[in-house]
Amino acid sequence: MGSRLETARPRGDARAVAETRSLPDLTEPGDARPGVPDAAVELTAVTKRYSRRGSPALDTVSASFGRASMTAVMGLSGSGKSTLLQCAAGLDQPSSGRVVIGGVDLGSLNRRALSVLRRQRVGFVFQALNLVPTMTVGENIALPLRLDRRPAPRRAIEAVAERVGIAPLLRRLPHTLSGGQQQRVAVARALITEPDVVFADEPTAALDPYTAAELRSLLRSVADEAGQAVVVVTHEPMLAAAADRVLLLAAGRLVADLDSPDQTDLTRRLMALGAASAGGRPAVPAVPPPTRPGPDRGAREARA
Amino acid sequence: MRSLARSARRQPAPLVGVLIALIAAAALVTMIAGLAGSSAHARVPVHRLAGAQAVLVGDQHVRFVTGSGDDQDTETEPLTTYRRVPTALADRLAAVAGVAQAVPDVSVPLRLVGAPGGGSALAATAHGWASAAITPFHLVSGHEPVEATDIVLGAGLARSLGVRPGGRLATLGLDGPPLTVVGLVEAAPGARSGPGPDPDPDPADGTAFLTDAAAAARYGHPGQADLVAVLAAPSAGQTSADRRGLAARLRSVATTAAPGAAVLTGSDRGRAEDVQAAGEGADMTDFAFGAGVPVALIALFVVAGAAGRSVASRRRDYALLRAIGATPGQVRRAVAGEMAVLGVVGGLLGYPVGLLASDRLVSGLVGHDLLPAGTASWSAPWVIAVAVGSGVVVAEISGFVAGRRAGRISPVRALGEAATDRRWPHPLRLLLGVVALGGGITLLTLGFQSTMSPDDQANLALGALLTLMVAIGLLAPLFVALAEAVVRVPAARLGGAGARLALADIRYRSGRIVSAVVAVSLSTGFLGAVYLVNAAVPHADTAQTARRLVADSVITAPGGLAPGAIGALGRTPGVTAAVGVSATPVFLPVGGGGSFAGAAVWGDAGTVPETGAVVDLDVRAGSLRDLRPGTIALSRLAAGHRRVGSTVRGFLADGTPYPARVVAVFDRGLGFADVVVPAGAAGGGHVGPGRLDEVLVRGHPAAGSLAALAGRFPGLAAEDRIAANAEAKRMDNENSYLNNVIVLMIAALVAVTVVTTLVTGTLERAGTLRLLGRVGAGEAQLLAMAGWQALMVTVLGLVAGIATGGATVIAITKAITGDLHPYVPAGPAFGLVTTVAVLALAATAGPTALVARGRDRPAA
Repeated sequence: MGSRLETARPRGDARAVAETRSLPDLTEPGDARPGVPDAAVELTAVTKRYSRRGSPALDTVSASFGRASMTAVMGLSGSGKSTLLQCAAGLDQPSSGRVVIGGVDLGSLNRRALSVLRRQRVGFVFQALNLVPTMTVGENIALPLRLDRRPAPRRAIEAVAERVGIAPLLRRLPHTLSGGQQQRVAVARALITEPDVVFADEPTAALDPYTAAELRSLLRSVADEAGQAVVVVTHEPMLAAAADRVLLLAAGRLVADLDSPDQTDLTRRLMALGAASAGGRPAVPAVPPPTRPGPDRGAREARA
Repeated sequence: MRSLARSARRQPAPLVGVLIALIAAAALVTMIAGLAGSSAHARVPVHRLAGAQAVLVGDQHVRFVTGSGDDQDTETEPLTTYRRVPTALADRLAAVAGVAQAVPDVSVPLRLVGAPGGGSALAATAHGWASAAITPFHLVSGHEPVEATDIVLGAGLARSLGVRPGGRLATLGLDGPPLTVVGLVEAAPGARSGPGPDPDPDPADGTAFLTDAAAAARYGHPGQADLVAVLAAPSAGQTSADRRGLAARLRSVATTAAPGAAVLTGSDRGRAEDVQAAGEGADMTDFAFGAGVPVALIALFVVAGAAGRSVASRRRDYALLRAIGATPGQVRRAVAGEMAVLGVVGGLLGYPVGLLASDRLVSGLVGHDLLPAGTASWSAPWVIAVAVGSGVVVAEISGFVAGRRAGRISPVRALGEAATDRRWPHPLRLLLGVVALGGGITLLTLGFQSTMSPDDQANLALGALLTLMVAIGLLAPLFVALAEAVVRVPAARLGGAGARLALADIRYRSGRIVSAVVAVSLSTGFLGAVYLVNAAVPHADTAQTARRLVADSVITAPGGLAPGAIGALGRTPGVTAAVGVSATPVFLPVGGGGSFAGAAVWGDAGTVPETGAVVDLDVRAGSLRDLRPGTIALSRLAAGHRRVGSTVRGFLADGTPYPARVVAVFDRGLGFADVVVPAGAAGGGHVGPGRLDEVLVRGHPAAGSLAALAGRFPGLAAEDRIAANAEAKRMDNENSYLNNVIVLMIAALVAVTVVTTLVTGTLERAGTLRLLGRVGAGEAQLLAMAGWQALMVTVLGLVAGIATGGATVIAITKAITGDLHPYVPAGPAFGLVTTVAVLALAATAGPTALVARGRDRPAA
């Protein structure tokens, strides 16, 4: 894995560029994961606590998300999926551990630099209420560019809108759109800056099956055609089955890292987790971090 | 950020509250600027002096030098009577090229009534016949006065008195034969000049003429006059250059012959036409600038609260922007940009409102004789820049904290469906609040120290009030959280579902309630303090007057009594003491120098007045028996740090310096005077026109004796113990009107914020209210929820406001009146509480009812 600094695209915010350029390349030979040559996002022993007492929301989780791949993060409610996503995207600071996006350690950035990095390298699709309600679709899509003081040519906006299938809706306000259309707009906004990684937090939770399938295909194409890393937090086996990898969380710990999962298997595993949690028994023990990325890696299963 | 600007246009609701507050603030600033400008430009219309090219008057100011070296400063105070000038000046001025005539003018106030047993007495001002040329007046019937008892009246005055040439007039209060009307005059048409609305007052309505010698005798200051009017030769007044040349030559003579004297031309002659009105205009300018500071501070509080709520209502949008990648600085700049635009719009919209209010205010002040008659409301094009500028400045300062808060919003909030407010205040906010609370309490404690002067005590108490207001603003979240914790259980048992819902909302979304509580406590504390302090003074006047007056009778006459009445009353069988009293301003070097309400006391000619026999001023040190020329008695307020035996260098009413030794310090001066001087101070004749407002008599005059005296002093009458101090009553009226203006200004600002805060806050929760409706809450339950919240706002706001305002009122009342028990009129107090409660309830329940009726519709 290398730093992305030497291949930095022109940025609109010169100061932010200077700040990121001044950071050292944090990779060391000893840290390199064999077979993880191009991880867009890497988490190392990340723990997140919201209070001193009680269990942590994330407990020493290590994971990496490679480019041109789609990874699903699954688990029951309260398992720490959203917390992992927030820490990985730089929306929240972990209590301990390290998060690296494109070779940049987020822990070394101040709030301003973090904001700049987020808008240049991270795209985000929330579960709901994704869009600024008083901006048109076109304005919402262009928002990251405007924030970065970069030009927002109409052609570029139309192109990305065309790609996600909402080109005729550019002048509409969000409240006039369906749920599925709003999610597509959110995807378009996430893609406009050509980020390293796109995070999606339960993007299909409020959608009907047909619309959810459309969005699933769209996210898949982002990984396949644009070569970006896509990380999706979901509790829906159908969406997770479209991913190249599935990370299974339980009680804040990574309990499984699955390659090319199928829907039935995922459902079974989730039910088993639920039953184990209801019986008071702990979930399957945590597994060590993966040694190889990508679809070539064999599936690992935690022993019950 | 243009996109954000466009979005603000599409959903303006969160900004409406801020805009309304800014409009109100800009309107108030415009109104105060208009008042200051109107006062500064107020000119007494020139009527009686219209025929004079120039008027020479003495220096109409006294000066106090404070500090020393580089810090030396000179404060000036305007006189409200003429500083007399020597009549010999008229000869020197008459010798100047271009001067046709130089007329020394004296003014003698008279109260005239048709004799015998005529109708109502009318006030008039008599002058020597030579002064008729100043206007000019010309005879329309009869002839000029020849004998000492001849009088020529203005035609309008004669009509009002119902007399014609040959008729007789009595002069009330004066010992002397009746006057005979020998002629009538009218003013030349050109005499109605100068600023002022039509119709101008006719100078003939209040003017009379005696012979020059009779007028000088009644004037009582041989060789002196109020002013010298200069009439130009026809050739010297044709062009403006001629007039300027003449004025320059006159000033050249005046500079050497009468240092400090002023030569007034053009509209400036109005300053000589009515010196009292000219002085009061200057007071209003000071008031305007003095009122501007508290109004600006409260405007800041109000707009800051509205800006905070506006940002809070859009926190999800800001969180989304932060999640997408907006830096904290970009969010802060977006808020600052919004505030700037709102400031400009608020300033532009508030300007015409303020102009209208200024116009009404100036009219009211003219009507209450606080500005010269005819004063027009002033404005200038650049005032709109002041209104807009003030709007922007207030908006930016208020938005600064809101912008920082918006920039710090965690992007994680964008993922949260239901956000709650911080329950307990930020530690830094707590710390600052505790410091402010401690500071306010310390200032209050110091303000109660009787070792300090009353002025200092009052100033400390006002400082404490402002500091405590800041403390309330900072600690309000803590108060609300503690109050909610205390009442939660009993209220839930008492109020059922409505109370539970209300308190849960307060517990976790207290921001809206906190803003409303701060607004209510601000209004109660500040308004209440201002109103009650100013209500306390006239109340204390009345209370002190009842205790002060120990005379058995108060003898008065319309227009005042001649000093000779004192001796006549003193020699009346049954009378043991008679002391004349006249109100007179005295200028003292207290607090940089200022005018104090004074009383001149008169004894029978050549004797020391027995002041203590007729008034009990609650003398704390020294004795009034030592009051004689060269001495002075002071109230605690006027004395400051001075003690009996110290010397104070003041000035009398006509600007005569009066260095005097303090012989007494007293406590019961409200409604009477802060300074008591003997009428013979500085040789006598310097405390006013030589008329007594009243003669206080100890003992009971024999039956019929007063009637006999009334024959000698027409209009003489005895009154009950309650002596009407005309000056104190007039000041009470002034204070009431001005107080009402201040209270209305602040009340308008605060009502705006209470209503907009609660209305916008309730509408923000429309989604929650609809959700409650869908799960089964009835309209009555939702209204009960609103009612409980309104009750919390009212109670908490009133408790905080009364605690801070009440302590201040007690401190200031003690400083001014010496009494620890403040005067709280039941009516206004009840009105304030009721108004706050009704406003809070209407602003909460109204929108709730609106939303509750639409609760079956899907949430937006």
